[in-house]
Amino acid sequence: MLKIMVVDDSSVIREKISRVLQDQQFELVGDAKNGIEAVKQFKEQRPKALTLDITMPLMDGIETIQEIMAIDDEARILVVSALADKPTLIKAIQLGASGFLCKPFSDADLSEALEELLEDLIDG
Amino acid sequence: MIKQLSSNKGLTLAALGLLVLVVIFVFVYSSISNRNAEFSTARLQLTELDERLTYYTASNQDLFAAESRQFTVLASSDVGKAFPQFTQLSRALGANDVVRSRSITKEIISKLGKNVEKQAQLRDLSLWAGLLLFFAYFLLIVIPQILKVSQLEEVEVEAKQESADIMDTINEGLFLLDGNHDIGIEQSKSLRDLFRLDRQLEGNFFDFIGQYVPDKTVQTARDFLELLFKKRVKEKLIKDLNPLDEVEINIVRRDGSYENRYLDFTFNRVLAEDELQHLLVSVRDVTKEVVLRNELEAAKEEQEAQMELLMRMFSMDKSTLKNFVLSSEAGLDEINQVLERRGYSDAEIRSKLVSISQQAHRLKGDSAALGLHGFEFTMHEFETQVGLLQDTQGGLSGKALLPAVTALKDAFSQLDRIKGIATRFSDFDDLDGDSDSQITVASRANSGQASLHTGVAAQLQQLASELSSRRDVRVNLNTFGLQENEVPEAYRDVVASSAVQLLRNSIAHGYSSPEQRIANGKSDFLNVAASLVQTENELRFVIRDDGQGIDQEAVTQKAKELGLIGEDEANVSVAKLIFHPKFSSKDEVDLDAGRGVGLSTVYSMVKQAGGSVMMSHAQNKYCQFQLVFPLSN
Amino acid sequence: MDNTEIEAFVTSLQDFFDKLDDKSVNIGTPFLIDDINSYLLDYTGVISITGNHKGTVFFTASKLMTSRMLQTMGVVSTVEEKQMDLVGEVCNTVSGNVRREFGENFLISTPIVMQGHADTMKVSNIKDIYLIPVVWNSLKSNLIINIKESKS
Repeated sequence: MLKIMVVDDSSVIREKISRVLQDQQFELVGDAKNGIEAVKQFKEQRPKALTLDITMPLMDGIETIQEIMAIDDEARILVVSALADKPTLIKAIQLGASGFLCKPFSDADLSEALEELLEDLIDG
Repeated sequence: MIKQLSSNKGLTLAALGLLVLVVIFVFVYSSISNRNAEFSTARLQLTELDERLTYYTASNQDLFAAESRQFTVLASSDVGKAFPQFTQLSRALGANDVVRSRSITKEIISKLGKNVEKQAQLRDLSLWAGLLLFFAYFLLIVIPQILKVSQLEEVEVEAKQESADIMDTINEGLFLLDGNHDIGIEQSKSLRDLFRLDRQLEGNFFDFIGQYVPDKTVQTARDFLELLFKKRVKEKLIKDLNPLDEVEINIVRRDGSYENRYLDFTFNRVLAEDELQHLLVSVRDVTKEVVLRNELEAAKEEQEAQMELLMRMFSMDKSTLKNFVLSSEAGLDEINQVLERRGYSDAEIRSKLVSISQQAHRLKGDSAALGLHGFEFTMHEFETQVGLLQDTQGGLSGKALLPAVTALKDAFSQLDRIKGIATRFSDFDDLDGDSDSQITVASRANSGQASLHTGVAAQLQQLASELSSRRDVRVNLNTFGLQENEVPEAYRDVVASSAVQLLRNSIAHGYSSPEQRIANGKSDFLNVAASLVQTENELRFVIRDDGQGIDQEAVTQKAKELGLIGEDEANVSVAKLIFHPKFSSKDEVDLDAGRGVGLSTVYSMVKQAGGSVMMSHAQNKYCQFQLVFPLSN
Repeated sequence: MDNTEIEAFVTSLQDFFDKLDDKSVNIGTPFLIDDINSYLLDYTGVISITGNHKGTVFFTASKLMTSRMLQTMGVVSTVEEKQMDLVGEVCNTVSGNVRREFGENFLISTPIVMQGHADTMKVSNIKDIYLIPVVWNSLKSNLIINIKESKS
């Protein structure tokens, strides 16, 4: 099973994503509500992939991508954000994010995005 | 391109085949001819020998020896090997035997003669065979190849013409971008038309596009294209991030005026041998689509707003609505007229603010009573802006009023919409042919409630239910003498507006929690009674609630904070304070209370109508307002 | 249209007068009108605007005001031509400033100047046109802004 973690400041979104993750071939190894927690857990657990919110307190998603890429540039990051403006998403991908999903999203949207993320893992 | 390469290869192979064929033929032919030539030379030598031998005698030993040496050499040559007689001849010559030598010579000559003839035939045959072979090869292989190539060339020329035709006529702007983001030379003709240019596009793409779109968009486009040129980033992933889809561009026309267009840029990777070399850019003019879509969206929004209004207005009495429209229109006009009045000093502006804020508060109250929340909200916004200005220290300039005037503009347009719908209602009535009838469309729509929804009473009930649901309180309102035909025409507006303000005041200030009320020995809901009584010479409106009454101490304290009275002043009339334009006891401002203009508005309206206001109260027991208006008959 | 854009027009007009002399210019309380024609004074400069906002901005001044302005600027002749030139110049300066501030999405044409009233001017069906009185040396001019948000 592939290790994955969820980063979002909203507990509702974290729960929703976690539920969908458990139905897929992922092993949920972490669950963080801001970038600082996320980086800390990432270092400990070294997951292969993570879902990441952009607007978060303390350390935002963009900064988190940079930190995580510095630790492991093979990590796959799915940006899950309501902040869907193009410059931000482009920036996220430039920094190393592998995909994005705009809030609000359905379970099916999330599954599809995760499948693509997984496919990416196998390819890469 | 690739096809042409392969056909050239075919032709090259054919030519190579031809060359091999020629070499083989030359080799065969020349070897045959050589042999033939050798044989002929040998025959000639033998013929000469035969002639010389007629002069020789056996005594010519030296001559025989020389001849013998010569023919020994010849015997070891190719010809000599073919004819063993040469060895015999050289021996015979060595033995000085003229007769035998001559007979051998003759024998060889005759044999050689036959051989030479045969060889000549063979040579001719091989020549013909060779020529035939050439011809066949040419016919079967070379010519078809040549034909094929020329056909392909024709196709290529044709294709070039076709692609030129396509590039000249296609509606989309097409061009290639290289890794340095430079615009390619091959461009469709409509590309320049899209930008109203006479010439081809050239130079750096971002420099070019920067003339038409904001810098921020250019920067985003730069980042986006950078991602597109990175092969590892999936094209599909970033497709939706293109900042130049439906981008608005501003073009300067030849006459110097501006033109707005929406262009849709699509970028596709061009891969050659798995290497990303170019981006194919196609540009489409989507102005019509975008404009149409925007119009549709606006229309839909407008329609939804209208529907909401319509639903609200259906439950409303027609004449109530008409009164509302007329009095609101007059109110907005009055505000506007106050603004139009000459006067730009700080003091003049501030006095304008006071009078418009009272008017606005009345309009807000009236619209709330009818449940027209859009308008209510706009008036609240207007009031907020005016309030902010009143709180501003230092000199006010007319410029500071712009936000308030913008809200006023919105109010005008909302009222216009309400009026539009109201007009359509009456058109509907006209169609029915009973426009004079007292039965309104609205009351017919829910006839069961028709009698409840008339006049000031209906407005107050509506407001009470609105406010109780909005503030989650329980209110029981009883009215008397406030049905539509019971309020004299002359005082209808002032009674309606005052009643609304006073009811709001009761609910906002008089309400306490059900627990507290029960503890005070009251029912768990707030009771409010509003009545209108007409006597011979006066009209008396009374509104009374069994709420908290007025906290005299709190009012005095608040008045001191606001600087309305001095710190050590005591025993000031509460009534005077609560009717002051600046007074409000609520700390927070919301839609229902807290501006402090409610009671002062009532006061100035009643005064203007020639009436008077009285107030009485008892803490934790009740609060009552009484408005008295003179009647001439 | 956002207030910031209207404010930019007012500010830049204020600047123009501030630089003219040391007398302060007064901005009256803005109000709404539905008929431009009745508020036009002797000389009017017209600026049309495209971009995210579409519409027209008018600067209209009385002859008294323009004559006084010319005097202040040291122009001796007050013939018609000079008066119109002046109004054109005011509009040019104002529109130039606003364009510099709002750039791409707020495109402003070269102003045209007209004299007296124009009956062809659009009358709005509701009061949605801003009028901002500008008073300088007790002389009157109006800044009229008729701009509709273009849906985009």
